[in-house]
Amino acid sequence: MVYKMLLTHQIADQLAENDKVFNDLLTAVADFANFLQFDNTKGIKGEVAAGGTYKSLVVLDASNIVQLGQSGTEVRVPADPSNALGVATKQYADGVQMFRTQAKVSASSGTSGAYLTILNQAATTRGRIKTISMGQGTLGPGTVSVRITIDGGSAVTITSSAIADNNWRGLLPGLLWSTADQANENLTSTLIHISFNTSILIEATSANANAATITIVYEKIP
Amino acid sequence: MIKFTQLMTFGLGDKTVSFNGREPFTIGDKDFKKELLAIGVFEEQENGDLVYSGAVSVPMKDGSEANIDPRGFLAVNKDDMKTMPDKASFR
Repeated sequence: MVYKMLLTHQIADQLAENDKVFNDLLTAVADFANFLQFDNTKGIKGEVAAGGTYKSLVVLDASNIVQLGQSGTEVRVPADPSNALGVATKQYADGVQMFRTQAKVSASSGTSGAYLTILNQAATTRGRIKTISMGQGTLGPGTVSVRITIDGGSAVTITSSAIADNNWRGLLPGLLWSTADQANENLTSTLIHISFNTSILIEATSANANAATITIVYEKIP
Repeated sequence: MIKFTQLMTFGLGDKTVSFNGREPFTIGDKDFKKELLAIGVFEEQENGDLVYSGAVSVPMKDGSEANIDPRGFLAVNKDDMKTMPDKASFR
């Protein structure tokens, strides 16, 4: 008797499972139009369950906007996507990368006559220096110097006049230091552009014991 | 032999790092570390630490310049260095 009851339950479970599978198949068939025809007037979603919750992989809405992933998911592309992207997409990616590599580097120390290298870009680099500004510390007044070497050629050294304590000078077009002390870097008023498509080396020093600071805004083009 | 011990601070954006001469230092922030390496004046060591590898040249009394080697040493006599008030940057 017990054996027959167990057998009945087992068959009932199998039937219930069959019913679930059958229903899934019916649902899939009903969705075939969407999944295979990509009719975006109906909205297309590709979802998978992650941690028990269905999350969207890709959505194409009626406005032809493709949304990859959703909040809480992460979309990844190859580390070097060059070969995986179309030409237009790659150009866009390069543009974004160019803006990302624009950097403001500042270095400070008691430079005191020793030239310290602040920026050193290899010969394969393209880009431009947008601004160079140097500030004097608290033991001034004193001069500051920046030395620029492009493509390993002769270095150009530009030395300022004496700068008062806690003041700044900027390098002007023509590679001359501004002559008026400024209270801060004021990078927008000291704009220079040094384009380079080879190597560039920038060193800085100050004439005495002042803790000098140099700030360089530059960008690299991949 | 004189050792280069100058305190330097490098900043990128709102992040800064300070170190002495060519003493190795650790950067936990991976993005900041990548940006520091892009400046071209740091090298990454086998253990992941960074070290300032930018050229440093020191003015001498005879008008020449002496270069600090990759280990941070300067093969000159301190008295031959051009007079600088902060020779404490070298020991």
